[in-house]
Amino acid sequence: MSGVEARHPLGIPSVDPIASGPSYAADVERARRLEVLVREGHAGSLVEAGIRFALTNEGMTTVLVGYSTFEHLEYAAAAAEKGPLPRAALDRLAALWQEKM
Amino acid sequence: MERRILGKTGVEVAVLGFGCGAVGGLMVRGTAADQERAVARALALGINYFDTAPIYGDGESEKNLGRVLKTLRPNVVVGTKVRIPDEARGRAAQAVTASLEASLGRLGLERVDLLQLHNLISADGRAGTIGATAVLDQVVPALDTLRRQGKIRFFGITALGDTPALHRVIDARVLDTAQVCFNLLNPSAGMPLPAGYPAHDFGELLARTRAAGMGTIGIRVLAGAP
Repeated sequence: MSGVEARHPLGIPSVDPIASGPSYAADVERARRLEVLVREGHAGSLVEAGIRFALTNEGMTTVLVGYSTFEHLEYAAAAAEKGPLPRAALDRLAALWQEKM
Repeated sequence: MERRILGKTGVEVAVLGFGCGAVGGLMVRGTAADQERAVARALALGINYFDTAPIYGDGESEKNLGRVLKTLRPNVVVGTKVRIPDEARGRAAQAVTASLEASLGRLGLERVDLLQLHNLISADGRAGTIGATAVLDQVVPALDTLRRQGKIRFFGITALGDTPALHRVIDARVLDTAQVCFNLLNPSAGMPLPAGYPAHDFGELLARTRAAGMGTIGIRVLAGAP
C-alpha cells in the first residue's frame, strides 16, 4: 500500500494478500495507481491515506497496524491524529475505483 | 488520539491499535528492549488496544506481549485469537478452551478482554474453513462458557471467508466484535464495489456489524504495506 515492495527485515518476507488482489506484487502495482492521491495533496503518503481511509467509516472502531520499528508507530499515530480523509479525497477515490484500478 | 466505543462492549479504544502480528514483526522478532520501548510509546500516544494471536510467531507474540505487559502494567484492552484446526471439528469447545488456556499461560494473564475466532468462515465448512452453522452452534456456546467462567470478557470473529456465511454469522447478533478487512484496494466492507471490480466483495459488511451493535477492528488497512 505504500507503493514499495521492499519490506523491513523484521517483517515477514512476503505477505499473502487477504481479499485484495491476486498477489502482493499486484497489490503494489494497484497501490501505485493510487499515488495520485498524494500527488494531488489529499494525503501525505499512501500509508497515511490507508489509515485515514479506514477511519472514514463510522462503523469502524479501531484500525490495527503492525509495526516493524518505532518510527512506523510514530508515523501511524501521526496519520491517525489527522482523522478521517476529507470528502474531496473520498470523491477522488470513488473515481479511481470506477476505473477498476 | 480520538477514541471510539467498541460496539456493545462499551469499551473505549483509540482509533489506532497495536498489531502484534508477524506482518510488522516487532512483537515477534524484535528485541525485548525495542518491544518495551514501542509499547511504552504507544501507551503515551493513547493507544490502548493490543492485538495478538497464538499463530503469530508460534506463540512468540503472546509471550513477548505478556512480558511487556508484566513490566509496564498498563490499563489496556488485550485481544487474542483461537484457530480451530480441521482435525478438531466436532470438539470445538475443547479446542477453544485448550487454546485459550495456552494463550493465558503465554500472556501471563488470568483473563483476556477479547477472544476472536481466527478461522475462515464458509457456508459449507470445507477443508481450511469452518462452517457458519458450526460457528453459531458450537463455537459461540464454547466462547460464552469461557465468558461465564470469567476467562474472557468479550468474543468475536475475524470476518474473512465467504461473504454470505460471514453475513449470516454477523446477523445472528451473538458476537461482540469483528475484525474487518477495509482498505484503499478493497473498500467493499464499507461501500458497494463497481461491477467487475477486482477484489473479494464483502458486501458492505460494516453496515451489518453496526446493526448488530458489534465493535470492529480494521485489519490490513495498509493492504500489507512494507
